[in-house]
Formats: sequence, structure tokens, C-alpha cells
Amino acid sequence: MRRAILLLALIAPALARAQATVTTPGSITFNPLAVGASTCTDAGANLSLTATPIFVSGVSPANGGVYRVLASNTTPSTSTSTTGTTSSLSLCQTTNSTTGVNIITNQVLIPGSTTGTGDVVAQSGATQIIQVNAGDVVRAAGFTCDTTDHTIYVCVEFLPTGTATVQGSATSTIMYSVTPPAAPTLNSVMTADGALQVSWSPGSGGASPAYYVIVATDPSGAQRFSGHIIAPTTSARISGLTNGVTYKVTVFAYSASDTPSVNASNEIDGTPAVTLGFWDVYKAEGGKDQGGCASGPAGLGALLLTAAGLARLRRRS
Amino acid sequence: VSARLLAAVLLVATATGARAEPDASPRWGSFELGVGPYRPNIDSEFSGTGAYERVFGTGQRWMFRAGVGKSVYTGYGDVEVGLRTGYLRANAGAFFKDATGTLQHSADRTSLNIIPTSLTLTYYFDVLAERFRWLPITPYGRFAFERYNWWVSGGTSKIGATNGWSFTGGAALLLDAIDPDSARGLDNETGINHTYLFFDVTKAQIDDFGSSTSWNLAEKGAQYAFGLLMVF
Repeated sequence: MRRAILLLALIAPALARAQATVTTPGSITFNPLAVGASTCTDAGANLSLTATPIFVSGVSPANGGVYRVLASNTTPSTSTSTTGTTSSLSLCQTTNSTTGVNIITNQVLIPGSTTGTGDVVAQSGATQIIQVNAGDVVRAAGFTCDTTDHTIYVCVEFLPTGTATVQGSATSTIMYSVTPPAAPTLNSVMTADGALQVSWSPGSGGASPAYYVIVATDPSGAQRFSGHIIAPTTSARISGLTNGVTYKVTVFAYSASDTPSVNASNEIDGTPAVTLGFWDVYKAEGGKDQGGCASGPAGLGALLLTAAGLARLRRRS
Repeated sequence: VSARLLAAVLLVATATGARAEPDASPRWGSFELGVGPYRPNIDSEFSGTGAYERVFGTGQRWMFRAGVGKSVYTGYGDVEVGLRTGYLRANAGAFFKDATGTLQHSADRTSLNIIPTSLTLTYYFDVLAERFRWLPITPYGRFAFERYNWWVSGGTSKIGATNGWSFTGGAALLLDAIDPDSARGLDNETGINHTYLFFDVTKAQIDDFGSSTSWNLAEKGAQYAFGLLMVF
């Protein structure tokens, strides 16, 4: 019995450490990928955070609790937690989660929340989608919607019901980016049926392009836009155009914060046209085949006769 | 003396080279996988550059084929009836007419797809390969009724089928001769009696038996193919 107690005493600290230590940080993805100047000043512009926190062993969000979103302009500490929870909480620990400094309070909304405003009850499932105001994120980090790019450190933390101790968290960064990408260089515009195939090269300098948009302008000035063409793709088709109409085609580059290149690319004309495929070329040159089965019943009859003959041969053998 | 010597050599060769396969499994038929270059002779109805060459160029494409045959006679050689099919796709940039009416390359694509189907009657002269290890060659001949099912996409779509016939002559190299023990083991485990590498030459006429409203999907000259033949 004494030996058993001694053994338990020896391994208990190790077991406790194993339960309390979480070595893998959680993750947060943002939509949009960055906050731009126009988004920052738009009171209705939301930033969507998809957070997958890492929880202290034994803690489950399904048992209830609240999520809080914190933002900071300070690089998170990588030191071991002083509260004995998890190293992935380092960003949250650089902020004061009780005084409200650098904390986005009463801004968190989770779809399906029963509380409506303020801190929200945890939903079942470890991944949470949280909507916050994009400008609030910038301001909570201590910045303004100015003309300088900033890195914002964001933390999502989970507090189980009835406790003020953080028991799960995820950290990431998002850019407040106002630097536009350089204008792309349009290389070619090829004719297609009701569409144009466009290829371009990225411009040099500025922010990295996150996506491109093709603009086709008809003679009346009406414009048609492509969808977002995610970089590094540099060729795409813009559809829904009218055959025979000549369009002026340009391409814009956008940064991750939706900041467009100041100028469009160079302009190239393109005219969609009806496609002539192999059959069209064949018939245009006087091809005699009509499609379908030209030999019709004769060919089918020959095949059936052959099959019958072979069957008879087999019976004989 | 020389005649006696020749007779003795032949006797010895026959005696030592004869292959004894007392435990070979019964023969049901064969299965083959092959491939060969193919270019339909569609342009035979045009003078100068035809539609096929204008769209798909002058190069040949690979046609893959697979077939299965059922033995209907096994004695002095083997006769099989069978079915074969395959696939070929020719794909290239389509065209459009510019303001002057001249054909220009479009960003769209056009393709000709062919699925040939064949009803075959094949004779394998496998007597030599069965009897003599030092002569592992099986010549064969095949007659087939062909039905090439095809469709065109890009621009105006079209679908159709063109019938015809073909004659094939070929030779198959019996791979069992390389390692007879392994071949016998394969037979015991899977029922595959023999494995061959084949090479054949086909002359076909695929134009709906000379129809005036049909194109010609046969190869311009002879069509070559090679592949693997398994007798089981």
C-alpha cells in the first residue's frame, strides 16, 4: 500500500502537467483576409472569425461558457503561462481581460446565440464563427483608420460557465492594410463564345495581390465584372458577353483588405464570337457525313447477321 | 547421311523442346489490352488540307483498346469470338470567323471522341508455341465487324456511329517461355494459362460500307497496335 501511494505521488505531477499542457495553438481564420480603410470606417462592415480554440484538457465548449474576442497591437509573449493554463493563451495574457483594455466587449455575436448581445453562450462544437465589427477590431488594438498598414493580434478565449479562468484559446493576426497592389499588365484577350479569355501579369511593387477582377466595358459604357480570381491565377474567362460586341477589357488587382490597384491594367479590345468547332469546319468544307448512323438499318443488319453466324458456329463447335 | 542427321536433329529437338503441361487449366478465352497510333482518314473526302488536319493537325494520337474473346474451337490452334472496345479523343482549339470571314483560333476547345466497338472472330495458330519452347510465337488473324461510335463537342455538337469491317494479322510472343515455372504458378493461382506480348497490323474500312453520306474513320494506311494478351 505504501509503495502504491509512493508511486502515485511520483507520477501525479507528471499526469497533472500532461493534462494542463496544450502544445498546439488554436487557429482563427478571417473573412475578409484583411481590414482596409473603407471597411474600417464602415459601421456595418463585419469581420467574420472562424475560431478553433484549443481547450484545457477536460474542458468542453458543449458544457457552456462564453467566448471573448481580444485584439492587441503588441506581439504576443511566448513565455509560459503564469496562470498555469496553456502556452497558446500568451496573446490573451498580454492584455487585461478584466479591465477591458484592448478588449472588444459587447461586440461578439454568434449565430444562434440566445443572449443576443454581449458575451455569448458557447455553442456545441469546438469551432465557433464569430462576427465582430471590423472597425472595432482596429480600434481595440489601439489604431485608427489611418493611412498606415498595421498588424493586429487577435485572440479568441473561452471561459466555461461559472468561472473567470480562461480554459481555451486561439490566436492569429490580421492586417489593417491600406497599401494597394500595383496595376497588372494585360497580356492578351482571346475570343470565345459569349466570353473573353483574358491573361495578365502581376504589377511590381505595392501590396501582394490577393485577387483580380476583370472588367469588360461595352461601347455604351456598361460594364460587366468577373468574379474574384484568386491570386496567383493570372488568366480567366469573363462570360455573359454578347457575340459581335467589342469590349474594352481591363484588370484590377485587389489586396487582401479589398484595396484595389490605383489604376487598372492597360486596355485591350476583345470581341466574343460564335465558336466554330470541328463539326462546323468539317461541314463548311463540304463534309458529307450527316451524323447519326449513316448506314442505318443496313449496318445494323450486317452486325446482327454476323452475330447469328458466329452463334451458329459456336453451336457446331 | 545428311538426311539421317537432319532427321535425328529434328527428333532430338522435338523431344527436348516439347513442352509438357499436364497441369494446365482448361482454356476459356482471352483478354487483351492494347494501344496503337491512330489518325482517322476523315480528310480522304477533301482535296488539300481537310477539316481534320485543319483542326487537329497532322499528328497521330494513341487509341487504347481492350478486348475479350471466348474460345469456340480448341484443337489445331484456337478460334475465338470476341468483343473489343477502346477510346480515342482528339482535342484542339476551336475557331471563329473574324470581321473579314477568315477563320481565327478561338479560346474555346473542340474535340472528336471515338469509342470503337468490334465483333471479332480470331484464329490463333498457337500450335508451335504450345509444342516448342524455342519457338514461342503465335501468329493470328482476325476479322471484325466494326462500329465506331463518335461525338463532336465544341461549336455545333454532333453524335453518330459509323460501321465497317477490318482484317488484322499479328504475332504474339509467348512470355511463358522466359520463366515456365512462374507461368505455371500463375496458372495454378489465377487460371491465366499464357501471357503474350502482341503486335498486329489492321486494315480497316470504316465508312458505313461505302455510304455516300459517311466519312471514313479508318486509318489511312495500316493501323499498328501492340499490347498484352492473356489466355485463361
